[in-house]
Amino acid sequence: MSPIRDSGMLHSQIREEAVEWFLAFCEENVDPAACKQFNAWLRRSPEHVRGYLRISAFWEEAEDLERHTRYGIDELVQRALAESNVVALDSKSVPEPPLATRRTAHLRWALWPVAACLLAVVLVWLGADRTRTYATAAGEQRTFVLADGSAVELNTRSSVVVRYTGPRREVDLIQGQALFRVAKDPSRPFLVYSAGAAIRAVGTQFDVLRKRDTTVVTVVEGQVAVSQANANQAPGDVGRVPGGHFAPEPATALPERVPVLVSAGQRVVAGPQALEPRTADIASATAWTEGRLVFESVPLGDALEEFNRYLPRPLVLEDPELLSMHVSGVFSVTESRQFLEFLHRRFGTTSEETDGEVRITRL
Amino acid sequence: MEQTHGRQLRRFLSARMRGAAADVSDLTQEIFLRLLRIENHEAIRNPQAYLYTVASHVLHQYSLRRAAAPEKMAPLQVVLELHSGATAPDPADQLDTEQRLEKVSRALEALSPRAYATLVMYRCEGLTLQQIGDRLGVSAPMARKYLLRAIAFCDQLLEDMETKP
Repeated sequence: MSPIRDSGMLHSQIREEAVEWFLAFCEENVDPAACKQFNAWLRRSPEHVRGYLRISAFWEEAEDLERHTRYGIDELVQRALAESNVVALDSKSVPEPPLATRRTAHLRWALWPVAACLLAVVLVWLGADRTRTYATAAGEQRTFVLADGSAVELNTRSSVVVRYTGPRREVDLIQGQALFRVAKDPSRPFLVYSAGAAIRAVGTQFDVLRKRDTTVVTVVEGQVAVSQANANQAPGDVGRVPGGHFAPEPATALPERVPVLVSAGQRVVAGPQALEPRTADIASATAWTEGRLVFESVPLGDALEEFNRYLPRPLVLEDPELLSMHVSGVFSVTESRQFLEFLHRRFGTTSEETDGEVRITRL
Repeated sequence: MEQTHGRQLRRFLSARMRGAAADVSDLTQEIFLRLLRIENHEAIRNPQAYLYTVASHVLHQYSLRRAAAPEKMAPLQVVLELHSGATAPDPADQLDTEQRLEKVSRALEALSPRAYATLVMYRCEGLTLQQIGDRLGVSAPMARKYLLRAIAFCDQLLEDMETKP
């Protein structure tokens, strides 16, 4: 259950969010609504907690920063002003549109990530090609922004491998569920591989849920092409050759069989059966991004399986009759107690917690 | 009251969160799971203070566990420190902190005198963003941007130093 981390380093986006929140509290600029948001932010990922505590710790140390400065405040200000004078002079000596002059100071900031990387003992980028793994632990949800500006929102216990190597942007959904918001780039198709399916998009938004042998694709915006993966290949090995590397294919060669177009508001289940797009309930398919689970007349067994994706200790129920009963409702993924109480009231069950699981039985 | 509490914890964290990478990830996981377990969390008025409280409980228990292991060094002191508020850090740790701060200070100063000046004025001189903006001839939101970048940069550099000692 231990999460796979690409490097153990805090994701820069998370770091920036943590600083934003920390500053907001410093400025006493947090109203009740923002408090709620901060609370929700903290509860989304242990990395958020880590990031925030890191910034807190730095803030305390930074009190002594003054002892390490070689100049007094006035001189510091002088030097800061001198910096911008130099920049301004330089940019004036180069024939550039006037707007560029005003932007020069901002341009410096554009160089920050580069400088930071150089100073960063260059550990992450060296050696590793542009293949990165992103993963979440039980109960964790995170959003990652990829190099091209596309965003991947990962649900609990999910992982993806992102490969931006050749003429295509490729992502393997190794397990779990992800919502993709693809940045438009017609010259570089965006491909997602999951159990039994290959999904191709240009600029759109869609959710992919990998189950044991099937994949559910729900399109929120735009249109995607879904192909069934080659039956000879094991699930998860779409486009992969033995040894874990990917076969170099020409950009036009999409996986076997005729792709089926799936439009916004539709979903398709890719598996052994023929692909048949159907109308989907977008709100419930993407409810997880808001920490909710929506069940509409779902067998209790399925509901439990769904809930267990979020829990460090699974809910266990072995009563076949109960497992086939149908349930409906909206539940918060962080409040399994609420769900248990619902079951207790509805079916007269009781639950017992042990170290490894929560066992549900009938009274 | 909350402020002193937060301050005390931040002191403690800064000693604890640096270095022992494996511990830190276990500790934050534990803090996170406890946050998730809190019922009725929407009623929390001050989530920052709440986070600090949860974190201090976890760290406290962690210190106790370590105290139970006889081979560990002076863990009781850690517990006492946290609870008495008396911060008498290990001289070796202190030296470490000084050196790291020195490096961070130099790096930021070299990279951007503006961001550096902003951080020092805000954190050490207690100037407001408006006052800083006035002195640097920029708007308050721009000064805030400098500050944000300065903190993120320092934290990243510190993390690099922790992973590659």
